[in-house]
Amino acid sequence: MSATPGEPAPGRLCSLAASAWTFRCRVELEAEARFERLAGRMERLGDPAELVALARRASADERRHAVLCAGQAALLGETAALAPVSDLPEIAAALPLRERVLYEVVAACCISETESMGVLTTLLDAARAPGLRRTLRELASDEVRHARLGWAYLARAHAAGGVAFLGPLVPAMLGGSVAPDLFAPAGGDREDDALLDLGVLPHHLQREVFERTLDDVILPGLERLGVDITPARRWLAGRRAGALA
Amino acid sequence: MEHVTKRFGRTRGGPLSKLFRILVAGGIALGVGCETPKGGEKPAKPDDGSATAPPAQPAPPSGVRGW
Repeated sequence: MSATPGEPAPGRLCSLAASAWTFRCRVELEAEARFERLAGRMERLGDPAELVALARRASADERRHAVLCAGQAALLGETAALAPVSDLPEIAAALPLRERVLYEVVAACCISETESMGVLTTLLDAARAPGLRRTLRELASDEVRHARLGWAYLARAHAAGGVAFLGPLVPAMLGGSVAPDLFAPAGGDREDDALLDLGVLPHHLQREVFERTLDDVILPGLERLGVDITPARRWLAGRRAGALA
Repeated sequence: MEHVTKRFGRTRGGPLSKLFRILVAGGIALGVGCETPKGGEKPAKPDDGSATAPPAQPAPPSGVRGW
Protein backbone atom coordinates (compact mmCIF):
# COMPACT_ATOMS: atom_id res chain seq x y z
CA MET A 1 0.00 0.00 0.00
CA SER A 2 2.88 2.38 0.73
CA ALA A 3 4.41 4.54 -1.92
CA THR A 4 7.98 3.67 -2.82
CA PRO A 5 10.43 5.88 -0.91
CA GLY A 6 11.41 8.88 -2.98
CA GLU A 7 8.29 8.77 -5.15
CA PRO A 8 5.71 11.54 -4.78
CA ALA A 9 2.71 10.53 -2.68
CA PRO A 10 -0.49 9.86 -4.62
CA GLY A 11 -2.98 12.73 -4.84
CA ARG A 12 -5.51 11.08 -2.56
CA LEU A 13 -2.92 10.83 0.23
CA CYS A 14 -1.96 14.47 -0.29
CA SER A 15 -5.62 15.36 0.04
CA LEU A 16 -5.96 13.39 3.28
CA ALA A 17 -2.81 15.01 4.68
CA ALA A 18 -3.95 18.47 3.60
CA SER A 19 -7.19 17.99 5.53
CA ALA A 20 -5.21 16.89 8.58
CA TRP A 21 -2.98 19.99 8.47
CA THR A 22 -6.03 22.24 7.95
CA PHE A 23 -7.66 20.64 10.97
CA ARG A 24 -4.47 21.15 12.98
CA CYS A 25 -4.48 24.82 11.98
CA ARG A 26 -7.94 25.15 13.52
CA VAL A 27 -6.80 23.31 16.67
CA GLU A 28 -3.87 25.74 17.02
CA LEU A 29 -6.14 28.78 16.60
CA GLU A 30 -8.42 27.46 19.32
CA ALA A 31 -5.36 26.91 21.50
CA GLU A 32 -4.31 30.53 20.90
CA ALA A 33 -7.66 31.71 22.29
CA ARG A 34 -7.63 29.15 25.08
CA PHE A 35 -4.20 30.09 26.44
CA GLU A 36 -5.03 33.79 26.33
CA ARG A 37 -8.24 33.17 28.25
CA LEU A 38 -6.42 30.94 30.73
CA ALA A 39 -3.70 33.56 31.26
CA GLY A 40 -6.31 36.18 32.16
CA ARG A 41 -8.07 33.85 34.57
CA MET A 42 -4.81 32.68 36.16
CA GLU A 43 -3.92 36.30 36.73
CA ARG A 44 -7.26 36.93 38.44
CA LEU A 45 -6.69 33.90 40.65
CA GLY A 46 -3.32 35.26 41.77
CA ASP A 47 -1.33 32.43 40.22
CA PRO A 48 2.45 32.84 39.90
CA ALA A 49 3.49 35.41 37.31
CA GLU A 50 5.84 32.87 35.75
CA LEU A 51 2.94 30.56 34.90
CA VAL A 52 0.75 33.41 33.67
CA ALA A 53 3.60 34.51 31.40
CA LEU A 54 4.00 30.96 30.13
CA ALA A 55 0.32 30.83 29.23
CA ARG A 56 0.57 34.18 27.39
CA ARG A 57 3.63 33.00 25.52
CA ALA A 58 1.84 29.76 24.65
CA SER A 59 -0.98 31.77 23.10
CA ALA A 60 1.49 33.58 20.85
CA ASP A 61 3.20 30.27 20.02
CA GLU A 62 -0.10 28.78 18.94
CA ARG A 63 -0.77 31.63 16.51
CA ARG A 64 2.63 30.90 14.91
CA HIS A 65 1.82 27.18 14.87
CA ALA A 66 -1.43 27.88 13.04
CA VAL A 67 0.56 29.68 10.34
CA LEU A 68 2.99 26.73 10.12
CA CYS A 69 0.12 24.25 9.80
CA ALA A 70 -1.55 26.42 7.16
CA GLY A 71 1.78 26.44 5.30
CA GLN A 72 1.90 22.64 5.25
CA ALA A 73 -1.73 22.51 4.12
CA ALA A 74 -0.94 24.97 1.32
CA LEU A 75 1.96 22.80 0.12
CA LEU A 76 -0.56 19.99 -0.21
CA GLY A 77 -3.08 22.12 -2.08
CA GLU A 78 -5.48 23.30 0.62
CA THR A 79 -6.11 26.78 2.02
CA ALA A 80 -6.57 26.94 5.78
CA ALA A 81 -8.35 29.96 7.28
CA LEU A 82 -6.30 31.90 9.83
CA ALA A 83 -9.00 34.05 11.43
CA PRO A 84 -8.66 34.14 15.24
CA VAL A 85 -11.21 32.18 17.27
CA SER A 86 -13.50 34.56 19.14
CA ASP A 87 -16.17 32.15 20.39
CA LEU A 88 -14.21 29.49 22.24
CA PRO A 89 -16.70 27.43 24.27
CA GLU A 90 -16.24 26.62 27.93
CA ILE A 91 -15.26 23.00 28.51
CA ALA A 92 -16.21 22.85 32.20
CA ALA A 93 -18.77 25.62 32.64
CA ALA A 94 -20.37 24.11 35.75
CA LEU A 95 -17.22 24.35 37.87
CA PRO A 96 -16.21 27.35 40.01
CA LEU A 97 -13.48 29.48 38.48
CA ARG A 98 -10.45 27.95 40.23
CA GLU A 99 -11.54 24.39 39.45
CA ARG A 100 -12.56 25.40 35.92
CA VAL A 101 -9.09 26.78 35.23
CA LEU A 102 -7.40 23.71 36.68
CA TYR A 103 -9.68 21.43 34.66
CA GLU A 104 -8.92 23.31 31.44
CA VAL A 105 -5.17 23.42 32.09
CA VAL A 106 -5.10 19.67 32.73
CA ALA A 107 -7.24 18.91 29.65
CA ALA A 108 -5.27 21.25 27.39
CA CYS A 109 -1.72 20.77 28.66
CA CYS A 110 -1.39 17.53 30.64
CA ILE A 111 -3.51 15.63 28.12
CA SER A 112 -3.66 17.30 24.68
CA GLU A 113 -0.24 18.96 24.59
CA THR A 114 1.42 15.90 26.13
CA GLU A 115 -0.28 13.68 23.54
CA SER A 116 0.89 16.11 20.84
CA MET A 117 4.46 15.50 21.96
CA GLY A 118 3.90 11.76 21.47
CA VAL A 119 2.66 12.45 17.94
CA LEU A 120 5.44 14.91 17.10
CA THR A 121 8.28 12.71 18.32
CA THR A 122 6.88 9.82 16.29
CA LEU A 123 6.52 12.00 13.19
CA LEU A 124 10.04 13.36 13.65
CA ASP A 125 11.37 9.81 13.63
CA ALA A 126 9.74 9.21 10.27
CA ALA A 127 9.63 12.46 8.29
CA ARG A 128 12.40 13.00 5.74
CA ALA A 129 11.59 16.24 3.90
CA PRO A 130 13.73 19.05 5.40
CA GLY A 131 10.89 21.61 5.36
CA LEU A 132 8.52 19.27 7.15
CA ARG A 133 11.19 18.35 9.68
CA ARG A 134 11.85 22.02 10.42
CA THR A 135 8.14 22.59 11.01
CA LEU A 136 7.82 19.55 13.26
CA ARG A 137 10.89 20.57 15.28
CA GLU A 138 9.60 24.08 15.80
CA LEU A 139 6.22 22.77 16.91
CA ALA A 140 7.78 20.23 19.28
CA SER A 141 10.13 22.69 20.93
CA ASP A 142 7.15 24.88 21.90
CA GLU A 143 4.84 22.03 22.87
CA VAL A 144 7.35 20.97 25.52
CA ARG A 145 6.74 24.28 27.31
CA HIS A 146 2.98 24.03 26.88
CA ALA A 147 2.85 20.54 28.37
CA ARG A 148 5.14 21.56 31.25
CA LEU A 149 2.85 24.46 32.07
CA GLY A 150 0.09 21.95 32.73
CA TRP A 151 2.19 19.66 34.88
CA ALA A 152 3.55 22.66 36.80
CA TYR A 153 0.04 24.00 37.42
CA LEU A 154 -1.24 20.59 38.50
CA ALA A 155 1.75 20.12 40.83
CA ARG A 156 0.92 23.39 42.61
CA ALA A 157 -2.75 22.46 42.88
CA HIS A 158 -1.76 19.08 44.31
CA ALA A 159 0.46 20.75 46.89
CA ALA A 160 -2.50 22.94 47.87
CA GLY A 161 -4.74 19.86 48.16
CA GLY A 162 -7.12 20.80 45.37
CA VAL A 163 -7.07 17.98 42.81
CA ALA A 164 -9.44 15.34 44.20
CA PHE A 165 -12.37 16.49 42.03
CA LEU A 166 -10.43 15.76 38.84
CA GLY A 167 -10.32 11.94 38.89
CA PRO A 168 -13.92 11.26 37.83
CA LEU A 169 -13.65 13.99 35.18
CA VAL A 170 -10.56 12.69 33.37
CA PRO A 171 -12.60 10.39 31.08
CA ALA A 172 -14.49 13.45 29.77
CA MET A 173 -11.15 15.13 29.06
CA LEU A 174 -9.88 12.04 27.26
CA GLY A 175 -13.06 11.52 25.26
CA GLY A 176 -12.97 15.11 24.04
CA SER A 177 -9.31 14.99 23.10
CA VAL A 178 -9.54 12.38 20.35
CA ALA A 179 -11.40 11.80 17.10
CA PRO A 180 -14.62 9.86 17.74
CA ASP A 181 -13.40 7.03 15.49
CA LEU A 182 -9.90 6.66 16.97
CA PHE A 183 -10.68 3.21 18.34
CA ALA A 184 -12.59 2.04 15.26
CA PRO A 185 -10.90 0.36 12.32
CA ALA A 186 -10.14 2.76 9.49
CA GLY A 187 -8.59 0.90 6.55
CA GLY A 188 -7.91 2.25 3.10
CA ASP A 189 -5.75 5.28 2.55
CA ARG A 190 -5.89 6.30 6.23
CA GLU A 191 -3.67 3.32 7.05
CA ASP A 192 -1.09 4.11 4.39
CA ASP A 193 2.36 4.46 5.93
CA ALA A 194 3.24 6.96 3.18
CA LEU A 195 1.21 9.48 5.19
CA LEU A 196 4.17 9.70 7.56
CA ASP A 197 6.18 11.48 4.88
CA LEU A 198 3.43 14.10 4.76
CA GLY A 199 3.49 14.65 8.51
CA VAL A 200 0.45 12.55 9.35
CA LEU A 201 0.20 9.33 11.37
CA PRO A 202 -1.59 6.37 9.80
CA HIS A 203 -4.71 5.54 11.81
CA HIS A 204 -3.32 2.47 13.61
CA LEU A 205 -0.22 4.37 14.67
CA GLN A 206 -2.29 7.34 15.80
CA ARG A 207 -4.17 5.06 18.13
CA GLU A 208 -1.01 3.32 19.32
CA VAL A 209 0.73 6.62 20.07
CA PHE A 210 -2.33 7.88 21.93
CA GLU A 211 -2.60 4.75 24.09
CA ARG A 212 1.10 4.48 24.87
CA THR A 213 1.46 8.16 25.72
CA LEU A 214 -1.55 7.81 27.97
CA ASP A 215 -0.31 4.60 29.60
CA ASP A 216 3.31 5.60 30.04
CA VAL A 217 3.32 9.37 30.46
CA ILE A 218 -0.04 10.95 31.25
CA LEU A 219 -1.63 8.47 33.65
CA PRO A 220 1.55 7.97 35.71
CA GLY A 221 1.91 11.76 35.84
CA LEU A 222 -1.65 12.28 37.00
CA GLU A 223 -1.30 9.53 39.58
CA ARG A 224 1.93 11.01 40.93
CA LEU A 225 0.11 14.29 41.44
CA GLY A 226 -2.76 12.79 43.39
CA VAL A 227 -5.37 12.37 40.66
CA ASP A 228 -7.32 9.11 40.90
CA ILE A 229 -6.73 7.43 37.55
CA THR A 230 -9.13 4.51 38.10
CA PRO A 231 -11.93 6.15 36.03
CA ALA A 232 -9.43 6.94 33.25
CA ARG A 233 -8.15 3.35 33.18
CA ARG A 234 -11.76 2.14 33.04
CA TRP A 235 -12.44 4.52 30.15
CA LEU A 236 -9.41 3.24 28.24
CA ALA A 237 -10.28 -0.41 28.90
CA GLY A 238 -13.80 0.25 27.61
CA ARG A 239 -12.49 1.79 24.38
CA ARG A 240 -10.07 -1.08 23.88
CA ALA A 241 -12.80 -3.64 24.48
CA GLY A 242 -15.11 -1.82 22.07
CA ALA A 243 -12.41 -1.88 19.42
CA LEU A 244 -12.05 -5.65 19.80
CA ALA A 245 -15.81 -6.33 19.72
CA MET B 1 7.79 2.50 8.13
CA GLU B 2 7.39 -0.46 10.42
CA HIS B 3 10.48 0.71 12.27
CA VAL B 4 8.51 3.66 13.57
CA THR B 5 6.01 1.44 15.32
CA LYS B 6 8.78 -0.75 16.69
CA ARG B 7 10.80 2.24 17.85
CA PHE B 8 7.81 3.83 19.52
CA GLY B 9 7.06 0.50 21.15
CA ARG B 10 10.33 0.52 23.08
CA THR B 11 8.91 2.26 26.05
CA ARG B 12 11.03 1.14 28.96
CA GLY B 13 13.99 3.47 29.03
CA GLY B 14 12.96 4.56 25.53
CA PRO B 15 11.36 7.64 24.08
CA LEU B 16 8.34 7.60 26.38
CA SER B 17 10.26 7.48 29.62
CA LYS B 18 12.25 10.39 28.20
CA LEU B 19 8.99 12.21 27.49
CA PHE B 20 7.89 11.55 31.06
CA ARG B 21 11.11 13.04 32.41
CA ILE B 22 11.03 16.08 30.14
CA LEU B 23 7.34 16.92 30.39
CA VAL B 24 6.02 15.60 33.69
CA ALA B 25 9.10 15.73 35.91
CA GLY B 26 10.25 18.94 34.23
CA GLY B 27 6.82 20.50 34.71
CA ILE B 28 6.60 19.46 38.36
CA ALA B 29 10.02 21.01 39.03
CA LEU B 30 8.85 24.20 37.33
CA GLY B 31 5.69 24.32 39.45
CA VAL B 32 7.55 23.73 42.69
CA GLY B 33 10.05 26.46 41.81
CA CYS B 34 7.41 29.11 41.12
CA GLU B 35 6.96 31.74 43.77
CA THR B 36 3.46 32.44 44.95
CA PRO B 37 2.81 36.17 44.52
CA LYS B 38 3.08 38.28 47.69
CA GLY B 39 0.03 38.03 49.86
CA GLY B 40 -0.55 34.43 48.89
CA GLU B 41 -3.11 33.08 46.53
CA LYS B 42 -6.19 35.19 46.03
CA PRO B 43 -9.58 33.71 46.63
CA ALA B 44 -11.28 32.86 43.37
CA LYS B 45 -13.18 35.86 42.07
CA PRO B 46 -16.16 35.42 39.85
CA ASP B 47 -15.21 35.56 36.21
CA ASP B 48 -16.19 38.78 34.50
CA GLY B 49 -18.05 36.65 32.00
CA SER B 50 -17.44 39.13 29.25
CA ALA B 51 -16.39 36.56 26.69
CA THR B 52 -18.22 33.41 27.64
CA ALA B 53 -20.96 33.57 30.22
CA PRO B 54 -21.83 30.08 31.48
CA PRO B 55 -25.10 28.84 29.98
CA ALA B 56 -28.14 28.38 32.22
CA GLN B 57 -27.72 24.62 31.98
CA PRO B 58 -23.99 24.07 31.62
CA ALA B 59 -22.86 21.49 29.12
CA PRO B 60 -21.14 18.43 30.59
CA PRO B 61 -17.37 18.74 30.87
CA SER B 62 -15.47 18.01 27.72
CA GLY B 63 -11.90 17.79 26.53
CA VAL B 64 -9.54 19.78 24.37
CA ARG B 65 -9.25 18.24 20.96
CA GLY B 66 -5.66 17.58 19.98
CA TRP B 67 -3.89 16.64 16.78
